Amino acid sequence: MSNELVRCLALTRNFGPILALDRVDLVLEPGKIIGLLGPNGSGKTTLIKILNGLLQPTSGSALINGKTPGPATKKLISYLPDRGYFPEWMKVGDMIDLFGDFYDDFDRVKAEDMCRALQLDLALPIKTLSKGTREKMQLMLVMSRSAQLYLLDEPIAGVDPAARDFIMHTILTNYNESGSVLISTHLISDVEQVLDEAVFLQQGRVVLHESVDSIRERTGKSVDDLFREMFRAGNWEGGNNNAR
Amino acid sequence: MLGKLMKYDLRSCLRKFWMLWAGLAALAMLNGYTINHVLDNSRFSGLPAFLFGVLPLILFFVLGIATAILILVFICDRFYKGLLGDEGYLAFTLPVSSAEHIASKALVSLILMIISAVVVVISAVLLFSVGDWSNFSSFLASLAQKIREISWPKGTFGLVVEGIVFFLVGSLAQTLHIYLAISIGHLARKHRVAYAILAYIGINIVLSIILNIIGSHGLSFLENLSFFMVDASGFHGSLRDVLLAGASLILGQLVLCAAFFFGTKAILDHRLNLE
Repeated sequence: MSNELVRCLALTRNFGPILALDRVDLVLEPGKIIGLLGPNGSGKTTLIKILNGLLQPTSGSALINGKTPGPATKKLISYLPDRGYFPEWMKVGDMIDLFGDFYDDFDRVKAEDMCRALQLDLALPIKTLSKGTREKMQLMLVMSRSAQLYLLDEPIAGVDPAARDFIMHTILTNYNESGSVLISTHLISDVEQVLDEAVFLQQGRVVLHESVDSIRERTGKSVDDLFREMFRAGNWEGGNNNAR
Repeated sequence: MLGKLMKYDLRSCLRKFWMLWAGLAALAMLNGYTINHVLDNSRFSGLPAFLFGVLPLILFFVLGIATAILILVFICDRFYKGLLGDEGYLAFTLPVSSAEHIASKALVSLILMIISAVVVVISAVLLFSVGDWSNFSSFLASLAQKIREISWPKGTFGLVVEGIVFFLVGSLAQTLHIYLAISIGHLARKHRVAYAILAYIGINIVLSIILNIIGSHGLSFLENLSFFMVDASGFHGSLRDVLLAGASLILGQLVLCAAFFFGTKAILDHRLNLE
């Protein structure tokens, strides 16, 4: 296998006059947990959507295992979006069936075990679940796959500390270690301990891509401290705070 | 993968429509009973006759119209929400091509239309039959007799088949027309539904212009066809010509299907923008 799981080359995306991604060059290797870190509106979600094929780049390219996003790359990617995507009519068991039908790498036993741990009855209609339970269920489905690339968009945003622990524990105990995990977040302190690499995005540009150990050695600071230092001023200098 | 997609699309459709179909059949039976028993009974007049005789009939027709409207709403809703709304985050991350998504939704809509048409026919039969089987069976017998008495020209069966194929392909073209309009609306950043409606109208205008051009230049051979005619003395005209005209109409609908399908696919492949 090539040592490049993801390659973005001059990847650019604009929404009208707003430049969400600005000539992003990025290479991600397999077997890493990578933090995609940046303030709101820095382009994290846009980048993840392009890798998933949910958005098309304005220019430049994004390749997963050397291929442009399509059915072949979607087999490799397990994606947790920043919103709920369950069809309202389905039951918990229906979603497990659906993942089992479409993804060869889906582990049904693991998913059902996680449902039991969450005390989720497979016969429960999804529309009766609370927002928090739906989010956990979505994470459970995503992490029941043995994917090459996990793209997790803000998995710990807007949840209480106990839920954050549950989410991080679920990710760390279930991901395929030969693949990579890309976690987008602006809550650095909660993920820093598990990261191998950090990618800092600012106003659509990659301003830093370095291993976490190297950052600590080079700067003598934690990733969280470095992030706060780099982005404190930026937040007040016209950073677009609209989530993209 | 198309079969798997259709399995889930069918389930989402059937769970909504089975109640409507059952309601249509039940109301047809109720109407059949009231028509054959209540209305003939002189004890019922005024309000009771309205409540037992006329109201169920009105409800039956309202439910029939509601079914047609709901099919239309379903076609729009399943495509718009299922692919271009939040559910699109699931649909478009499945390892499935956009062509399979479009085909699955369109074929399930077609199945929905076929089942609904069958249910309406069965309901009509129930309407006439319930409560008075003897009348109904004699009606069927006289209908069969009349059909036998007519000297059907050779090839009538082909004409019937053509009619069915035209209904299927035409329905598919109408569904794909809606999908293309919704996809064009999706290209706008705001007011996507409004743009989709405008796109639907716009496509119709373009089609009218194209048909006018083709009609005045390309299909003059149709003017020479001796069309199927029927009057008191029987059927006239060349069946071969009628079949040819029908085939050209089917071909036209197939061309529309292909144009709408690939237009929608191009937008989903190259301009998908889930925000």
